[in-house]
Amino acid sequence: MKRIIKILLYILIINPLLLTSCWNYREADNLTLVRGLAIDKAEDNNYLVSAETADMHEEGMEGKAKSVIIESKGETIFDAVRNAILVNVPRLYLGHTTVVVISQKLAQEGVTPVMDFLTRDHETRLEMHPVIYQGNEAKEIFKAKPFTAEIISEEIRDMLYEQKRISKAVQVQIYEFMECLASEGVSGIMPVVRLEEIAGEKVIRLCGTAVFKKDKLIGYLDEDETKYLCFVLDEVEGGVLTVNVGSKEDNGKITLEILKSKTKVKPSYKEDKITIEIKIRIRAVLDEVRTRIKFNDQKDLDELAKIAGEQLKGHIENVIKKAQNSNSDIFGFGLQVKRSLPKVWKEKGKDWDKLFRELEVNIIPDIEIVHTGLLIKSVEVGE
Amino acid sequence: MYKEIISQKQAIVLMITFIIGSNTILVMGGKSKQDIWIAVIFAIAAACVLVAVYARIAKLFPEKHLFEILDILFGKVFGRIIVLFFAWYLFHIGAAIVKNISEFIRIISLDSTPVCIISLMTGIVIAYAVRSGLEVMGRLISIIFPIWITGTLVLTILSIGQYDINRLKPVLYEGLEPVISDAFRLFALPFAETVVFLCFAGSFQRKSSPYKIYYYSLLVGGFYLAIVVARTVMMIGADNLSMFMYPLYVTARLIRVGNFLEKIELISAVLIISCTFTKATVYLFSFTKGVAYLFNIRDYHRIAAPSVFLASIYSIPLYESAIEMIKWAQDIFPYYSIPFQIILPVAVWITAEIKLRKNKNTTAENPQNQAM
Repeated sequence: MKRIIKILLYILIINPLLLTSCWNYREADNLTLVRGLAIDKAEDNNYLVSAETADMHEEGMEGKAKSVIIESKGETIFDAVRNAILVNVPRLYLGHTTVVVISQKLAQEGVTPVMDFLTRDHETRLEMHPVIYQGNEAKEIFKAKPFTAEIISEEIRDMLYEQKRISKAVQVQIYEFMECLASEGVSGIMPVVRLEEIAGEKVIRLCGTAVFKKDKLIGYLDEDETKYLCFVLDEVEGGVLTVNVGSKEDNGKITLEILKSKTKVKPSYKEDKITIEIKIRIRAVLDEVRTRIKFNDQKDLDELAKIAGEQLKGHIENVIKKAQNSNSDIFGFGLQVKRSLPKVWKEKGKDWDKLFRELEVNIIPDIEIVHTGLLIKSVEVGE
Repeated sequence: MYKEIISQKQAIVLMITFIIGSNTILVMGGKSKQDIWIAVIFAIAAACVLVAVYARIAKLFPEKHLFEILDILFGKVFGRIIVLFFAWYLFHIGAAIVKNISEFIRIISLDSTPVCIISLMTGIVIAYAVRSGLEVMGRLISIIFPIWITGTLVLTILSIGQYDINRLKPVLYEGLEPVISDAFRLFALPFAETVVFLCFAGSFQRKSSPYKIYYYSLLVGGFYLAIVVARTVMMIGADNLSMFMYPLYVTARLIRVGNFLEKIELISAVLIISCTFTKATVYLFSFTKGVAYLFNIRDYHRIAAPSVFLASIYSIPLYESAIEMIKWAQDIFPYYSIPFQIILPVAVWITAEIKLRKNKNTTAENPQNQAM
C-alpha cells in the first residue's frame, strides 16, 4: 500500500513537469505550408520573397489544395519570410518547399546568400530544386496557369521529374549545387524556366540550363545544348536524337529514340598536356524516317549509326566550345582530372581556368541501333 | 552487497553502441575530406594496440573495477587522488555528451524550448538508467540493439541509389598527413574512450574474455563507423560533409523512394539520440560508481540521481554554442584525454605486472623456504 502511494506521488510530481505542452506547439492547420519560393532582389537592395502556399482550408473530401501567393519584403531572405506574418497570420512553414525560383538578376549577383539560408535553416530540406527564372521578376512565375497540378511549384517539380524522358533539362538539388560550389574543377548548373503564352494563357516552360561561374550566373544553354550537356554528364536516360541524312536540299531527317546511354569521361596526361576522352555508348531505336533514302539492311543501319555519331560529336563539341568561351567548367572535367590524375591536378589545378579554355576533348560516340520498330522496310510509296 | 553481472554478449553490444555513440553527432568531417574512412581504419589499427592494455588490466584483476585496482596498486591515499581525477574526467565528458544530445534536439526540432529543460529531461532518463543498474542497462541494450541495426540497415539500403563512388576519389590527395591527424582525433574519440569500461570490467561474466569483448566491439563498431562516413561522403560529398553540423541527419533527410517514402529523418534522429544516450549513461554510471567508491558508499544506486543531475546541470553552461562544442571535441578533447586514456592505463598495467610478478616470486619462494 505504501508503495502504491509512493508511486502515485511520484507520478503526481512528475506530471506537471512533463505535461506542460510544448513551447513551440504547432498544429498543422495553424501553419502556412509553403510549396514554392520565388526570391527576387528589390530595388532598394532588399529581398522580395513570394511564397506559394497550399491552402488546405477547403471543406469536404473533394477539397483540393488551392494555391495562394504571399509576398513579403525584408532586409534578408529570412527576414522577408518572417515578415509574411504581417500579411498573413500563421507563419510560413518551409518544411514542404519543393522548388525555389531564383530571379535572373539575383543569380547574376551571386546565389550564395540564398544557398546559405536554404541550407542553414532547419526547416528547409536539401532536396529542394533550385530553378532560375528567365525574365524580370521571379514572382511572375506564380501567375502562370498550371496544367495538371493545382499548385505551380508542384507542376515545376513534376516537369523536372518528367523531363528525364527527353533529357532537355537538368535536375539539380540544393546539396548537389552546394557541392559544385565548394569543389574545385566544376561549375554549378541549374534548370531554367520562363513564361510563355499559349492560347492567351501564361504557362511555364522549361528552357535549358543556367551556367554559373562560382556563384554567379553567367549564361544560358538552350534545350538542345542542354541535351548534349546531359550526354557529357551521363544524365541521359531517354530522349530522341535527330539525324540529318542525305543532301542539304533533301533535308532528310531520321529520329532515333535513345533506350540507354552511358558516358565515360577519362582524362589523360601526356607530354605536359591534359586531354579528355569522352566515350558515349548509346543504344537506340529507329523511330521515324523522313527521307526517301531506304534503310533496308544492316549495312544501311550501321552507316546511319555512324552518321548519327558524327553529328552528335559535332553538337557536343559546340557545347563544350561554348562553355570554354565563357570559361565555366560545367562538365566537371577539372573534377575528373582531380579524381583520376591527382598528381597532375596538384601541379596544374591552380591554372585550371586557363587550361580549361584550351582543353582538348576527344569524343568517341558509339551508337547501336537495336531494332527498327514494327517496320522492317521503309514505308513504300507506289510509283 | 549483491554483485552485478553482465554477460559477454551484453558487454559487447554495450561497447559497440558506446563506440558508435556520439560519433554519429560529432567529428565526422575533418581535414582528411574524402579520405576520412581511411582515417577511421588507421584509428582502429592504433586502438587495437591500446585496447590490448585495457583488456590485459581487466584480465589481471577479474571481478575488480578500476577504482579498486587503483587502490590495490597505488595505496589508499594516492589511489584515491587518481580516482578523484578520473571521476572528474568521467563527469566532464558525461556532461559534454548530455550537452551533445540536448544541443542536437534543440537544433533539429525544439528551438524555442529552453535548453535546461531538454538537458534535465535527458538527465531524468539517464538517472533512471543508472539507478536501475548495469544489469538492466545490459538487457535494455540487447533489446535496443537489434532495432538499431535494423534502422541503420533500412537507411543504408534506401539511400543506395544516391551513392556515387566517385565522390571518394581522389584517394590520399593531400597525402597521409591530414589522414593521420584525423586518425588521432578518431582514436581518442571514440576508440580509446573504451577505457571507461574498466570501471565496471569487474561485472563482466567470470567466464567471458575481456580480450574478446574489447576486440570484437572495437572491430564491429569501428568498421561500422568507417562504413557510415564512407556512405555519407558518397551521398553528399566531402565538402558538404565538413560544412554540415549533423551530416548523418542531413543524409537521412535526402532519402526519397518513389513519391511516397520520404522525410524519414526521424529514424535517423531516434538512432542518433538512443546511441548517444547509451554513451552518456555508461559515462555517468562509471562516474556514479567512482563517487560511491570515493565516499565509501556501498550502494551506488542511491547517489545515481544526484550525480547524474549534477552532470546534466553542469552541461548547460559547458559550451556557449554547438560550434564551440564541436570545436572542443575535435581540437581539445584528444589532448585533454591523453592522461586518462593512455598514461593512466599504461601506468596501471606496468605497475600491475611488476607487482603481480613480485607476488608470484614471493609465493613461489615461500614453499621452498618452508621445505628447507
